This record gives sequence, C-alpha cells and structure tokens, in this order.
Amino acid sequence: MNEPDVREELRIIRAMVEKTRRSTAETGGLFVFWGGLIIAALGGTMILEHFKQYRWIWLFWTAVVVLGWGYSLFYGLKRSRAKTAKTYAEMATRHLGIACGSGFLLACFALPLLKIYPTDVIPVVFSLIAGIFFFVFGGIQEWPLFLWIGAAWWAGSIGLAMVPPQIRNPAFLGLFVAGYFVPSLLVWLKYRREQRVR
Amino acid sequence: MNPSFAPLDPVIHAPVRLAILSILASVREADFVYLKNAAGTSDGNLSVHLTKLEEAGYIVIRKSFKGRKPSTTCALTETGRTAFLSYLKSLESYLPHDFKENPS
Repeated sequence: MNEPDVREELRIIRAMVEKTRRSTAETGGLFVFWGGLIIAALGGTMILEHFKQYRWIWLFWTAVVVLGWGYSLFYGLKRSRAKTAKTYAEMATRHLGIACGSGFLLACFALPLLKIYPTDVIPVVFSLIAGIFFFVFGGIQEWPLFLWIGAAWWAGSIGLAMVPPQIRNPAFLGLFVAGYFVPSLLVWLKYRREQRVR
Repeated sequence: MNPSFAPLDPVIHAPVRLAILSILASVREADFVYLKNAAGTSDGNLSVHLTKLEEAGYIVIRKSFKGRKPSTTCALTETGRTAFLSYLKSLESYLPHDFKENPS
C-alpha cells in the first residue's frame, strides 16, 4: 500500500465522519419553539398583572405548559421516527432536555402552585436550572459559548435574587432573551447553515 | 513490504467496509438506508459488505419494524471498535513522519 492509497482511505474516513456529524446535528427547532413560547407567556403574564387579573395567571401558564409539553412530545416522536442514525450525544441531549424540562415543570410550576415557595422565586429557580442545562449542553456539543451562557445564567440567578421583586420579572425577561432565545437561534441558524453546505 | 509497515486487516481494507465502520464508529446505531446513502452504494452491495462485517463480529445487525415498515439497524461491537482503531493505527505506519504537521 502506498501513500496516496492511505490518503484516500483517510479521506473516506473523514468524509464519513463529517457527513454523519452534519446529519445528526442538533436542529435547535425545539429550543426556538420553547423560547418563543416562554417569551409570549411572560408577555402575557405581565399584561395580566397590569390589569390585576391574577387568578388567570395560573390557568394561562397551565395552558402554556400543556401546549409546550404536547408539542415537545409530538416533535420528539416525529424526529425519532425520521432519524436514520442515532448518536450518543443526541441521546445525552434528549435525556438532559427531559431532566431539565421536568425540573422546570416542578420548580417553576408545580411547587409554587402547591405553595412550597412564593411565585417571585420562580425566575431565580428557573435561572439555576437553565444554567445547568446550558452548561451540560455546551459540554456535550463541545460548544464553549454555551458553557459561558450556563455560567451567565447562574450569575443571573444571584442577580435576580438581589433585585426587588417588582422588577424581577422584566429583568428575567431580558435575561431570558439574551441567555435563552438568542443562543437557541444560534443553534438553529448553525444547523440551517450546515444543511445548506451538504 | 517494508517490515516497519503494520499489516492491514483485510476485513476492513475495502472502501465500502471502511466507510461503514467510519460511520458506525461515530454513532450509536445507523439504519440500512442511512448507510447506503452515506456510503454511496447499492442495496445488494451494502448487504454483502454488512454480512462480511457481521461474520467477523465487527457489527451487529438488528431487524425490526418501524410501524409497518421493516427496518435494519447496525451498530459497532466492542470487537469492531478495537479492530477499527487498530486499523487506523496501522494506517499511520504507512504515512511519512511529517504527516501530522501537514495532513492535507
């Protein structure tokens, strides 16, 4: 076997690994969906608070949670059926998503509803879980930017705990747009760009 | 043959089988259609190569149904992973020493 033959074999290996990496890349579609949904829900909550319609807030969030989880389940099943190759990173990301999604559901919805702690603690708890999500996600996907976003969420949780409760929700909305919605868009755009290159 | 060159595993030393193992080394499992498209080969040719790899104990082939459609998925075994890594090591011995600095 001569050197050009070896180079050809290495080219095949590289091409296959690269092709697989692209076809199994994270789409970011579900992140963008949740980002849009939460921003809309936060906006809705602020409007309900403005008009002092507090009793509707829980009903509104129940609808948001049911819609979000229902769509996530549908999206997950659809993707799983369409998938022709499965990676360990994808499996780890799915479990991380389910774990943190359940964490959000319990810490930001069920526990305040059961009056374990007041609702103004929700943004702080959300930031803690979001920090865990982005830090681990960044590690799985090997994207250093997401490690920093995870750390920013943890710093944000301290910041949110220190600001007065009446400005906590608008501050949280800012943090959410910068620390969740923008990164989600980045994942989605990266995926779209890579699909165009294929 | 130069005595310093490591022997290459004949089971892997074929472009389609090398392509299949390269894909399976980077995923948990891949189905028949994916392997066929990625390796750019035909159904019959892929089947022949998959059987050879399965006989060598390098991959496992699972047949199931996705809804009503039959589905064939393949995954690398521990033996296959070890053989693939050792093949890569053998390939290295055929390359000049300065290859790592200038791989293109």
